[in-house]
Amino acid sequence: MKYTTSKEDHQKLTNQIVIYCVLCVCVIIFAFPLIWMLSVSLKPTVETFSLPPKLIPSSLYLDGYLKIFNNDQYTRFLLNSYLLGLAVTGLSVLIGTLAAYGFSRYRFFGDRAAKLFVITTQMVPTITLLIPLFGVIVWLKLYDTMWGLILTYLTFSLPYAVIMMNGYLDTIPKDFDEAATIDGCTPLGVLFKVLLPVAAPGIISTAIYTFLLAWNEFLFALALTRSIEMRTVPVGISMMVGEFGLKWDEMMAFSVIGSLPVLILFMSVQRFVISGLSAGGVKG
Amino acid sequence: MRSALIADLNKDMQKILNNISNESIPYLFLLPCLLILGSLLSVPLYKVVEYSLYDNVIVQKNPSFVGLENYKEILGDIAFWKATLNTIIFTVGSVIGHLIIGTSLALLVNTDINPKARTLFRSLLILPWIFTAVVVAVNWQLLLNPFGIINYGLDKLGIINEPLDWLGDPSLAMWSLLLISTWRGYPFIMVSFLSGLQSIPKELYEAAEIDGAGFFGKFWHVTIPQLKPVIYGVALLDLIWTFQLFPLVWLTTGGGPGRSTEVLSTMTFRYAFVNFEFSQASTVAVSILIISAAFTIFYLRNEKSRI
Amino acid sequence: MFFKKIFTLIFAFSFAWTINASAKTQIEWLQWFAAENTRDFYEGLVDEFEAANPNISVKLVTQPFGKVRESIVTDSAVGVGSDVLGLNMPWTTGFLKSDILEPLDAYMSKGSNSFKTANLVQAPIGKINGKTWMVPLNAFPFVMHVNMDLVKKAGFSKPPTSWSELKEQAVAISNLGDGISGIGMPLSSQPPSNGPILTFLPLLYSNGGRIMDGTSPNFDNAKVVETLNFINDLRKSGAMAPGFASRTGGVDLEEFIAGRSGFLISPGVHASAVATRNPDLNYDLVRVPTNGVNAYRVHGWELGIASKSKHKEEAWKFIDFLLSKEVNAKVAKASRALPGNLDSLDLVSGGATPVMKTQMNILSGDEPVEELRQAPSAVASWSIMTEEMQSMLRGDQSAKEAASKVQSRWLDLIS
Repeated sequence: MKYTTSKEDHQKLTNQIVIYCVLCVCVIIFAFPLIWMLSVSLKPTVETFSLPPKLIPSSLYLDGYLKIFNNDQYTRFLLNSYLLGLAVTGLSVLIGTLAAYGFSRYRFFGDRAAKLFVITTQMVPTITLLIPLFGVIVWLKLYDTMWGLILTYLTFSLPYAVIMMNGYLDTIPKDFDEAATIDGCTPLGVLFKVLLPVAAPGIISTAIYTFLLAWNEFLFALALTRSIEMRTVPVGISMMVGEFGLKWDEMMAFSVIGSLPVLILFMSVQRFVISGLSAGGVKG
Repeated sequence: MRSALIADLNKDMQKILNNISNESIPYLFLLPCLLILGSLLSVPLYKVVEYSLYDNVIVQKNPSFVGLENYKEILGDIAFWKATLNTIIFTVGSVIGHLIIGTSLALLVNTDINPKARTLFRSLLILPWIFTAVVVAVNWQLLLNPFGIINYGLDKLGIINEPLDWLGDPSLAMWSLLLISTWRGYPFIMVSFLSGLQSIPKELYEAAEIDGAGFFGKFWHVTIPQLKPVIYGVALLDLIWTFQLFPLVWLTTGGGPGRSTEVLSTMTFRYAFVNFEFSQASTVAVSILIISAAFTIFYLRNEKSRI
Repeated sequence: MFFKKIFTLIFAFSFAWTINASAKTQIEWLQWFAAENTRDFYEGLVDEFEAANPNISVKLVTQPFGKVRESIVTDSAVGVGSDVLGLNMPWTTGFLKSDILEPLDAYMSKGSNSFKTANLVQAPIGKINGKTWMVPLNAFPFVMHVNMDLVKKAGFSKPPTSWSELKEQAVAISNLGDGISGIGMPLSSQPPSNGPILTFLPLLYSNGGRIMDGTSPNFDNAKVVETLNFINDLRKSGAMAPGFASRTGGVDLEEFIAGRSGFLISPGVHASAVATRNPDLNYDLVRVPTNGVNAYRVHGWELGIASKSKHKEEAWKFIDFLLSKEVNAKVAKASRALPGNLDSLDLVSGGATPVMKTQMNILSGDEPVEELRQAPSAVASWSIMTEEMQSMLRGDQSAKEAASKVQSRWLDLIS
């Protein structure tokens, strides 16, 4: 084998080298702003503003990080944000996939209108929704609770979950369903036992989107909570922008600390983003 | 005889019930989603439209009904049309940037390389997305400062002679904003398309290869058609979201210098929370809604022809 | 109602992330002070107050500075507003329009108060619509921070005291070399977009000018034009840091601290940022160079009571506590400011740094000016000033044109 296709192997190796090089260049370009962010978090502020700009700190400076670690408040913010993100993600994926399955596998009266409604909810700037939606949350007695935020974020994330999963389920051939139905599966059975394993990549991207939405959101996180125990990371970061100056090092350090677990989470779910169909071995 | 009749009747009933439940199945699937969206958002959406028909809402207890006066005022304001134009430039530019970079990177990190390296690259390339808007804005302000590292680098490379004020020069500010928005937004497209790519059966590529298709041939004749359902939905949402993207623009340039990067969402905010004119803010918001809705209906029509 | 019941049922049981109410009267204090470099200080104050007033508990609601003004309006619209509000003077007219503030006259005339009204910093308690709406927790006079190394390097021995000296020294410092500038103008449109009130107003006041005529905008006057021309001159003569239209207050401050600009016009509180971030800087603090008048812009943290509060008496009790001599002195020290109750000055001056003493001299000797409290749409007016000043400094219009444009746009806004 090796001997007969050595030319092909050679071609393949060259291809791989090119791909790695291109990827490295891309990472350097796109991650550069983040390298700078990391650099700011590791420098005293005076050095951030020194001339000429320096990417590598002149000495080890960890004050930014220490200030974060030595303050329980920030741990609390992190914990809140992670839990909030996971809760919203779980609910969005579940509820969104159900709806997407309905849209993808059924034609029914009002389907187009329902889809339009789901998308329409995304068309009004959230700034103007703030006060009325705030009112609804207070009326539901969910003000200053995580549930208020979870529900609010669901209204932002569900449309993406529905649209993404709908598109994804559409790409899965109907043969799958039919085969399973003949085997005696109920619609829910088809969805959970047959389609979802194949749709894992779609679920992952929905989950990533949803998690990051909850992770990054600031406007509602601030308005709908009030106790320091309910605050999330974006609110904590914004408090570092004070009336009389910014805490540059702390701000960047907190961002870096907060995003490391998220990065690890990404890495661990990436193995599910593989071609589910080819694994299933069904003809296209 | 009688029992047979009842049995018959029962059968009929069963059939009808079955029919009903069969027809209601899709509605049951949709119910939780529509319940949450409907119960939480229908009142606020209605309120926004209502606000736009009144004067002095929120700040005064008894706002007066003014009909379409606010719309007359807003539509007659040259600033509104400038902001609309800026919004279109910003939206189209950003979405094109997201699509090009997001798609290219999705293809690149979907290639057949060492799985561990692939995971690493995928995760690193997602990074611009995992920082909250205020950090992104502050960081880019440092990077693009006249004495910042980008100007310094470009100067050392001999590309520019004197530092440029990327965010303060009216002729550069929109371009800088587009750069930031593209950087910030491509991971969303990348992640969505990356999962879409997984659903394309390998056999299709093999068949295309046998037909002699090259890289672009395969991309054009296999990837794009197969990815269409995902592209359709994701691009639509990206358009709608970018059309009213607020925090990034507001925190990075605040619509300035002058009003050279003022978009409809920052205008809405200016009315609402700088001037406390919530009626006018709602009016601009409803305008955004109308433009987006018109576009979406047109878009969904096209989708219909696909099905 | 149905949905409400279902939701509350589900959520009441399933989640522990909720706050339990206490039997005492609870008042809320919405502020950003606790986020401004004073870890655990305000929590301590609250404990002290609660120990003295066992029937009242105070909940600190801390927000980022940039969002407090919006939150006060939003909370009030939804009906969940706090009782005691941390305020900034320029927000006043906007809040009065929506009846957010409670008049304080009745509370201030109480015999049981811990302070004398005459001893308070006067600017915030001046009457609008015949009433007093806020009291001063502390005060920040605007001053000029000076990098003495750069001044000496440029060949001068003393900080500038007049406009002409300021220009001369700033030009000389700018000529020192790449990346060093005489003075910065933070005129970015990025929120809060308040560069003009940080640098332009203090210069205008030291020129004896004003932007208000009572309660109506008067931006289109000779003193304003003269001040704008002076700023434009700084730009033309190369004394000003480049990138004025993207320069934020934060960057302006940090470049000064990093030793890259000679002068910084800003509140005196920045002295502590200099001391902590760059203790090696050969630094001084002086009165803003004058063009004939010794006047300073006064800024501060104010306190008010929400008109919708259900516990106004308790709210006042807490405010009264914060204004009492010892407590107010502590607040002033913690916030590196001067006290709102001037009776506390002697407590603050004990152990005060030389720069703090300079500020006290300015405070006691010069004329305080505060116009933004009665300025209609003050916050929106800064954006307008910022935009027109950007345009002037770019060379697109003259100082006179800029002044009249600000005036007409401002009047448009409030008509």
